[in-house]
Amino acid sequence: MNILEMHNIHTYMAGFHILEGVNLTAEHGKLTILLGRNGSGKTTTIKTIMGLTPARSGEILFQGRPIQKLHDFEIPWLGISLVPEGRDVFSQLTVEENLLIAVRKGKKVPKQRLDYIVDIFPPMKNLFKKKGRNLSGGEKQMVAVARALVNEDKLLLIDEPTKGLAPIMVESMRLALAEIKKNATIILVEQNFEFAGSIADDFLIMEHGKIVCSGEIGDLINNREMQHMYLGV
Amino acid sequence: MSINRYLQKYRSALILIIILILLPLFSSEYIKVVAMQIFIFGVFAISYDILLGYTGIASFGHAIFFGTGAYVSALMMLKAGFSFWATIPFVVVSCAGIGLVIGLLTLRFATIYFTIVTLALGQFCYFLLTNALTYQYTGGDDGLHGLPMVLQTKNQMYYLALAFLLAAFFIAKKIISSPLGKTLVAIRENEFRAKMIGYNVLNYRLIALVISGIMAGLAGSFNAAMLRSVFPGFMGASTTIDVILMTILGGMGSLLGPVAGAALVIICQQYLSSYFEWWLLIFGVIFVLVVLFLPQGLISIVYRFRKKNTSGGLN
Amino acid sequence: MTSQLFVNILLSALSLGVIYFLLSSGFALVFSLLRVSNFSHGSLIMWGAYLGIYLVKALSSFSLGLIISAVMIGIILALVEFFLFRRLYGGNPLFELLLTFGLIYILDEAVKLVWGAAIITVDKPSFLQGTVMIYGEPFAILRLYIFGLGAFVCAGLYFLLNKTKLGLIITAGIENKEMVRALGININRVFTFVCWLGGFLAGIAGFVLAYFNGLSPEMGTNQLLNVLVIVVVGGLGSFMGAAIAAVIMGLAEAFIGFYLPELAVLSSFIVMFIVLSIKPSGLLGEE
Repeated sequence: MNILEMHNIHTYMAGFHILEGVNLTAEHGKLTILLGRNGSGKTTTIKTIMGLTPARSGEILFQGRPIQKLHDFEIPWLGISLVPEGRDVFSQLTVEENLLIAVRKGKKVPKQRLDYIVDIFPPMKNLFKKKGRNLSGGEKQMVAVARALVNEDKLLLIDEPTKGLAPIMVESMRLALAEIKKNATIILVEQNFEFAGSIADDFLIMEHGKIVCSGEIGDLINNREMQHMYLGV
Repeated sequence: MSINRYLQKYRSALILIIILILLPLFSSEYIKVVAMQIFIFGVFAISYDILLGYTGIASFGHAIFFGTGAYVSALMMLKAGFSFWATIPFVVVSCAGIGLVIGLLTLRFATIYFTIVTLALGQFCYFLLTNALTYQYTGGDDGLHGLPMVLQTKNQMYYLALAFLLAAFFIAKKIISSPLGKTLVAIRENEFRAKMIGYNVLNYRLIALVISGIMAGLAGSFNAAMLRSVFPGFMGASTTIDVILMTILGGMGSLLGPVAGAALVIICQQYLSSYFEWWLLIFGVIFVLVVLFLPQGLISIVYRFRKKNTSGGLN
Repeated sequence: MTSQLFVNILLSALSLGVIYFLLSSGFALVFSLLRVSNFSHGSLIMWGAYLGIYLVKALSSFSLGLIISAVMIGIILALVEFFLFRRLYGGNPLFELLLTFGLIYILDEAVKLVWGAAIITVDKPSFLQGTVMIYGEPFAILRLYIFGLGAFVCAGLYFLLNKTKLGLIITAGIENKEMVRALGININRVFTFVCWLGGFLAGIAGFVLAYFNGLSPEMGTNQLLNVLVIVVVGGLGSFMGAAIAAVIMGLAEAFIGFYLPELAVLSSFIVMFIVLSIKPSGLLGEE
C-alpha cells in the first residue's frame, strides 16, 4: 500500500520551474530514500508535500486522499512531520520548548513520547534546558528529528540529516533512523549514498526536477553503472 | 512603435504644452500661481518617483532636500547677496552631500532603516529651523522674506517654472531609460539576483538618492524664488506627506503620474480647502485604496483606457 | 547638583522611560513578528488617548475606560491586519509601508471629526493628583502610577512571551515563520493576535499620555516620531532593544532638559545620531 503518491507535480519558485512533473510513490512502513545531485529538486519535493512551496499543478495523495490544495499548516495534522534541511531548531527556545511547540494535541509532550525520544537519542536527556542557539550541529539535528517524533506521526520527511555531521554522529543517526523506521514511514533525502544504502528499503533518484529512476535499494547497490550515472559515486 | 502611434503620443503631449504656454494670456494671477506651484511640485514629485517608483526605497523625509534647497538659496541671496542662479551650484552640492551622508548611514541595512531615519531626520531639520538657537539666521517659524526677484514679471516666472518642469521631466526620462535607470529597476525587482549578477546595489541606490536629492533641492530653490519667501514648513512633515500623496495617487514608476498627482493634490488643496476636514479623510481612504488595488496610481486608469502598457511600473 | 535633585531627575527620567517603553513596545512587537513597520502606530496611540478619556467620562470609571479603550484599539489593528495587511504579505514590503502611512490620514482625520481639532486638557482623577515625598523631594503620584502600570505591562508581556505556548509560537515565528507553519500552526492567526496586542499596548500608552500632555490631534504624528527613533536606536526587530532604548531616551531627555533646556526637544535625535554613528544597526539590531 502506498502512503504517499505524487502525480505529475509542477512547482515554481520565484518564477523558476523547479519540479517539472514529479511522479513518485512511497510505500507504507518503508524507508524510501530520495537521491540526486544538488539542485535536482529534492528539497523542493519535500517542501511541496508539506505545502510550503505549493504545487502549481498535479496531485499529491496521502493515504489516498488528495492534499495538494490544503494549506501548509493543515498538512501536519494529517500525520506528517518535517525535519528540514537546515534543521531549523528555534534558537531562542530551549530544547524542551522546541519539542513543546511541535505538540499538536494537548498542552505538553506526552510522557511516553518523551521516553521514546530519549530512548532513541540518549544524549537528549541532558539537553532539555539548553537554548537552541547553544547546541552543537549534531545536537541540533537530534532535536530536529526529536521534534518530528512528539506526535506519533505516520510519515516523516527527513531532509539531509547527516549534512555536516562528524562520522560518529552519522553513525548514531543511522541507528536512530533504523529504530524510528520500525514505527513510521520515512522519506529521506540524502546525498551520502553509503549512509542511505545501509538503512533504506526503496530508492528514488531525481534529476532536473523529475524522478528518473526508482526501485528497491538492493537493485541500486548492485548496479554500479546506475550509481555512477546518476549519483557520480 | 509605428509612426502613427508615435505621432499620437506626441500629439497629446504637444497639445498640453501649447495650452500651458498660452495659459498666462487668458488666466488670472491666481491661476498662474497655482500652475507654478504645480510645475514646481511636479519636479519635486518626479524626484521622489525616481527614488520610490524606480529604486523602490521610500523616503519619509524627502522634504529635507526641498527645504535645504529653499533655505540655501534664500540665505545666500539675503545674507550674502548672491544672485539666484549663483546659489544653484551650492544647492546641488549641499543636497548631494546630505544624500550621500544619509545613504551611507542607512542604505546598507534593510531599506526600512532608510525610511525611518529620513523621517526622523526630516523632523530634526524642522526643529533645527524653528529652534531659538537658529532664529537669527532662519527666522524661526516666520521664515525668511523679501528675496530678490529672479525675473521681472509674473509671466516670465511662469515660463521659467514651466521650463523647469519640462527640463526636469526630460532629464528624468533620460536617466530612467539609461543603463543606470534599467539597473535601478532590476535591483528593485530582485535585489538578490542583482547582487548575484555582480551589481553593487548600495552604490546604485546611493546614486539614485543623490540624483533625487539634487532634483528635490532644485525644486525647493525654485519654490523659494517663486514665492520670494521660505518657511520652515518646506522642511516639515507636511511637505513630505504632500509629495508622497502626489506620487502614490498619480502613479509611481511612471514620471508622468507624479506630475498629474501634483496637479491633483494642489488643485484639491486650493479649491476644496473649505471642506478641509472631510477632504483629508477622503484622501486617506483613496490613498489606501490606491495602494491596495491600484499600485500604479490613478494614471494607470488613463493608460488602461488608452490600452497602453506602462513600462517600469511596480509589479 | 544636590543628591536629592539628582534622584528626582532620575525618577522623572525613568518614568519618562516607562512611557517611552509603553509607546514603542506595540510597534516593536508587531514589527518583530510581521516585519511590518506600522506607521499608524502613533495614530493608534492618539485614538487610545481620545477614546480612553472619552470612556472614562462616559462610564465614570478610570480602570474600565483604560481597559475597554485599549481592547478596542487592539481590535482596530487586528481588523487592519485581517482585511488589509493580509492582501500584501509576500509582495513588495513598500506597499505595507505606504498602506500604514495612508492609515495615518484616516485615523488622524477621524479623530478631528469626532472630537474636534482643538487641544483638550484632561483632568486627573483625584487619586492621581498631588505628590509624595521621596528622598526629601516631592514626586508626582501620576508618575508613580506610571511606574506601576509599566511594571504591570512588562510582567504581563514577559509572562505571555516566555511562559505560554502562544508566546513560544511568537518567539519562534519571529525567527522562522516557515518552520512554524511546518509544525501545523496557522501563523496568520498569530499575526492577527499580535496586531491586537500591539494595538492594545498603543491604547494603554495613549491613555497614559493623555494624563500627561492632554489631547491634541498632533499627538499621533509626534508620538510616531518618538516611537520610530526608539525602535531604530534599540535595533529594528529587537523587542529588548526597544525597551533599553526607551529608558535611555528618558534619561537623555530628562538630563539634557535639565542642563541644556533649549536642546531638550532635540535630545532623542542627539541620542539617535550618536548611537547610529557608533552602531548603525542600533543597540541590539542584527547586522
